[in-house]
Amino acid sequence: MSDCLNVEIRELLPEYLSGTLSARRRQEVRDHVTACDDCARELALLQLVREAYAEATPAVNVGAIVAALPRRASRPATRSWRHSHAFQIAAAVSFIALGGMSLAVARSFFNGNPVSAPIDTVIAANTTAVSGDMPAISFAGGVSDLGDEDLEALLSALESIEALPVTEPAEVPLSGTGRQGS
Amino acid sequence: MVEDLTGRDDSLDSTLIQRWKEGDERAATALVERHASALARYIGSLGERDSAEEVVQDTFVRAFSSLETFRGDSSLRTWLFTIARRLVVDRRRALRRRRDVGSLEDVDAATEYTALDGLIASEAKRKVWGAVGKLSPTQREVFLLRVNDGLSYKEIAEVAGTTEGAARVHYHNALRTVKENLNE
Repeated sequence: MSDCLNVEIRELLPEYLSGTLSARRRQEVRDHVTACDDCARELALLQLVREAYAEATPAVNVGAIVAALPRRASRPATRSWRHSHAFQIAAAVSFIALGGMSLAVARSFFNGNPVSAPIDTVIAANTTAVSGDMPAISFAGGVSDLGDEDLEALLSALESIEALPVTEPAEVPLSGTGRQGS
Repeated sequence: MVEDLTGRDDSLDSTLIQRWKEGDERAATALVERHASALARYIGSLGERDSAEEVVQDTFVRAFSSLETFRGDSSLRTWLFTIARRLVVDRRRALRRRRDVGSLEDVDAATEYTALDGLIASEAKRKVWGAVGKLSPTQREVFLLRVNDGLSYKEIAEVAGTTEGAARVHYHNALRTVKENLNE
């Protein structure tokens, strides 16, 4: 059995038998095989292989296989938290708020008028909340406008704000934590 | 519903997988019907005829356990074949630890194919069966994946853990050897 020199068509013979070729390709192969004895013989050989193996295919019980499959939990179609409406709305609001704040900061910066109101508000609110006898700090310009005393007062006020996160965990008392009864 | 349940229609597989994900258990039956025979034939060609049904079942159980995460980068059939092959390799390895059983490369094809050619009715098919049986295990696997299932060289490389070029060479060498065996 000799081989046809049309390698392109020969390469398509298995797909032709499997029925996975496009209609145009299928017709091309059919036209060639009709005129080429070598390819006709090769196609017949491949078809015999398919038929021989189809006859010898081990039997399988589809019902038993399906019965052994993991049951799919019938649950309502849940959406992940990323796709929930609440999350999407919150994300949109946060995005707009952040954008607005960024714009305000940028505008203040380029106008040479650093934002002071938020700092004033935060410092004043925290100092009054933390200790009533501590003088409230207020400044209208940037931090660079503050004198040494004002800066020290600002730093001490910041340190006294309890809402700031502690940098280290509180020490865990070791007494009484040993194993009992051992 | 009129569907070709055994063809290689990847879009139909995608539709059935989607239906199964939405809770349609009949889609699972359709998927098994579409691919079980091809899997059994492939597993048989690897020399696991006696345990083919068990391996097919294990393959589907594995596949359905992770079908939620199946991305469809390859076709479902290619993916199933890959799982089946891995299961066969694992079984061989486990058996080899217990007693002396060969790897996929060591299957005594000649003995197995001589014993089974009684299943084939016609003389011509028996001859072809015998000629394919004389191929090396790798050549036989590649040749049958291409001829029986119409897998592309890329898909064969994925299943058999080789390269596209190597799959092409194996196929053509196998075809030439089968022709020579038939002419002897």
